[in-house]
Amino acid sequence: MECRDAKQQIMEYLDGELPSEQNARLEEHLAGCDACTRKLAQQRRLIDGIKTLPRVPAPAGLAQRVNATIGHETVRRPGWGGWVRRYGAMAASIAIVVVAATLWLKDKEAPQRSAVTAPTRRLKGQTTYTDEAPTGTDAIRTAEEEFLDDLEAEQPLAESRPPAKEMKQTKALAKGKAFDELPEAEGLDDDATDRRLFDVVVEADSAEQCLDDLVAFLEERGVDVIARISSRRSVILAQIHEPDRAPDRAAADVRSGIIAQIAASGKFRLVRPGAPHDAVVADAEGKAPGRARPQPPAPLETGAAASSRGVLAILVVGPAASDRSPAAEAQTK
Amino acid sequence: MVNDAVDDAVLIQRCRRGDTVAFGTLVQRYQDDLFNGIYRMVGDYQDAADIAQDVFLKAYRAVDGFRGNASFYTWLYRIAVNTCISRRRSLAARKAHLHVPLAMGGDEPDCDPPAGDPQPPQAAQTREEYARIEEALGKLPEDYRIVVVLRDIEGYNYAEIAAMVGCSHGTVKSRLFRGREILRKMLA
Repeated sequence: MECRDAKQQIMEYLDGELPSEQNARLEEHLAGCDACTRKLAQQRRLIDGIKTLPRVPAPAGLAQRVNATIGHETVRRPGWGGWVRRYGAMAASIAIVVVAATLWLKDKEAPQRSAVTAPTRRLKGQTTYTDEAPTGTDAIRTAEEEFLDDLEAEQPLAESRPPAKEMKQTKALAKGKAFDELPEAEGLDDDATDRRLFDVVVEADSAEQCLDDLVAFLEERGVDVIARISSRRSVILAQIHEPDRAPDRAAADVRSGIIAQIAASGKFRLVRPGAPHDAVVADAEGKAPGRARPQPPAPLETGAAASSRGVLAILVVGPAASDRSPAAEAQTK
Repeated sequence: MVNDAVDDAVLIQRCRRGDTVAFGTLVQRYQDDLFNGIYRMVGDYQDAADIAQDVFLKAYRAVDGFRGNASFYTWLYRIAVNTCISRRRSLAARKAHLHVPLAMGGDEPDCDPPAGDPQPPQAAQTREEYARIEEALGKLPEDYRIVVVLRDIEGYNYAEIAAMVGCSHGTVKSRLFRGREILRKMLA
């Protein structure tokens, strides 16, 4: 073999692309040719240098942004109501995204309303309910077949469950109905009713910032954030894993632990689920400036409709940047 | 946290039924490897982040078309390569004055090193040496860089690279050889 031929084959030899019979001939040539051996060593060093370049990890938040986008896209898929019913618990997380995103779209139509004092509206002349329909854990339960069956059969619900009418409204939303098509319901004009459906309610001066902080807080503790809905009613859904123990019980334990950590961190102003808007549990300094009833951080109640499926549902109440009044903006500066 | 025990095929089946959580698991599983490859191909961190996000979204929308002939990661990477190439063409069209002329493959390169060729690069062992390699890789014309990354960082063979990039086997060889030669001279 000539050196010229050998040098043309060195690259393929190093890359494992040279046919075996040519491999043997090249190796035979290399054994007696210093120039070609040096050429081989040069190329090998370069390839090794490229191969061992430090790996650059994905930026923080990439997965979260992808998940948030596909969550919104799921809303636009037709016929998913029946899909939710068929696949039960697996669809639980999807259902919450769908419902919350529906609310988000409705919010976009009425951007002037306050974040926490949204007016109720009256439909069909008689029925009063907020257009902030049940979300969070409520929607997760809606995706559970057992619960839907209860609703359809109009069986009596346990006292700990949210009102049946409220559930029915969520179910209608899950089927993709518009708000104006929702079944009539009573008792949905109380903001606290909605909050009771979440595991944690956090009040914030800036919902966006609080969402960022909460997501970071959860991810630092190994909790997967599976959805983040940024709107006037900001929602975070986090998936809790505890594979080594009995699933339902373990998930509840872990969820309680995470909630306790959120409360104890002093970084977030937690409101008792279902409590009036001003029932702030604690803020960063252990007190609530401007609030009448600052209270110690524990014990924190969990939502009455808390899921047993390992999903932590968090509601952040507070103005989004676009909703904030000039006065509110000035206050935060 | 990622449960590696759940096979890709199972997660993909769940994705096809619209399970965004399953897709989220796949994103968690592959985002670091995919991002690293994209970053090496485009050489810009922010561009790589945008492309990586775009790739995952494209994959989610097209998951019904994934037949399992290759691994899910290879499929993702194929989307990434196409996205990088499309983006490069788009940028080139908008910013003609910044266009980098790309020598296309076809002619076999001259294998003989020039007379007085400097010493070859030493094995990369220090931060400084890695930085030099990164800089040189970033300066490489993108057609060459993509092929070098696919072969030397991702470990794909020539046939796989040809399929991903959409060129002939010979062009892959030519670009890889030229790319490595340029790198070697820049690092000398």
